[in-house]
Amino acid sequence: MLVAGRYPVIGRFAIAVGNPDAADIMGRVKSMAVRIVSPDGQEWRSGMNNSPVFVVSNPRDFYELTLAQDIDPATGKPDPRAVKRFFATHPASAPFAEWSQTAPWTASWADQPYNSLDAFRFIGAGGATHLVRWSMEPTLSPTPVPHAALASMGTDFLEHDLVSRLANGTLTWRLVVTFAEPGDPSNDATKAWPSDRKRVDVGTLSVQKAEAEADGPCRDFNYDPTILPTGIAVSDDPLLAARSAAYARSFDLRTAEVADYPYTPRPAADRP
Amino acid sequence: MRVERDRFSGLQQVLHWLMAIMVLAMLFIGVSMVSTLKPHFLTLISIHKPLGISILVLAVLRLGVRLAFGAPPLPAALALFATGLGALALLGWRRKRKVAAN
Repeated sequence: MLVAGRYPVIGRFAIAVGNPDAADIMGRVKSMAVRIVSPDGQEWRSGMNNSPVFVVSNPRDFYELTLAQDIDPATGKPDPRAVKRFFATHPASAPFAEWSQTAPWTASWADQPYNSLDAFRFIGAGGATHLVRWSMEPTLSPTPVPHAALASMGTDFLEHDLVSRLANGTLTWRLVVTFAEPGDPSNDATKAWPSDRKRVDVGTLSVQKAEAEADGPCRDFNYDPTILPTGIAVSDDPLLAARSAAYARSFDLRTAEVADYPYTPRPAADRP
Repeated sequence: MRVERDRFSGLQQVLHWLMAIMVLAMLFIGVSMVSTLKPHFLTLISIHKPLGISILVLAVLRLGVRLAFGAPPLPAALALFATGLGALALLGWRRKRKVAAN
């Protein structure tokens, strides 16, 4: 699979927010998912986020965070004290919180890096294994936008930005693989590896065309990070199995509602 | 080849008990698989998929063997147990339908 060549890719840009009506530009965590297919039918699926680390290291903490972010029926919004309490009682989540509070906001998917966060194993032809993480590094430098300016930019700003950028040409990312050294955590996505680790540029992702989600080709894929080609395997990171199980459940729920899904995009005002 | 007999052929008996073990394992693996987020989810699903396909292949083989060898007459009453197994196999499907309806 990892031999040099050109492979077709279908992917999805998204924000990591549970609310389907959220303005895309207000999503703190932007994500890119890809499905790379080789001619012999092998697949490499990857869901990546623009944060350098994940917010939790295990499914139980994710569950607790989700409860903390639950909508308070009294206000219609999550209770900010519950979220504060979560971060106060989960020190492992501090690196993510720091990124969330200090990283510049941008108004585009195109200028963001997307990180695998979880660790994987690359297996060489001779059987030697290497613990790795990978990233899609943007070839555009980020354009910071003050947070206060975002709210007035409209609900589908990122989507329109992507379409208009692609009308002017291909967007590219460098696929960079980072190799762990002994002692680097394989099972804790809340911890970044030291910045001096060996990084190898293994390819270029060229994004040429965008299609709307409603009836586009990306919609019915489950970007399950455990679907990997020969030569790549999961690590002992407990998030991987949890993501696989949760994505499968989500996929079942989504496809069970396919008859109600707006195949032809309609203006929001037409929706019931 | 079809002859009147009062027992299933040896091949049919082997197929039957092999599949009985496989189907029971499949049910338990299926139920544990959909109720866990732990790393053994990946192990279970990697058994569940090839096991399911093997059961399908054996079921087709079994039909062929049945057509070739025939079967002894049915007992007077069909065992309740078989009905129960069928109902268990349908549970997953019904659960999904219920979720879809909600």
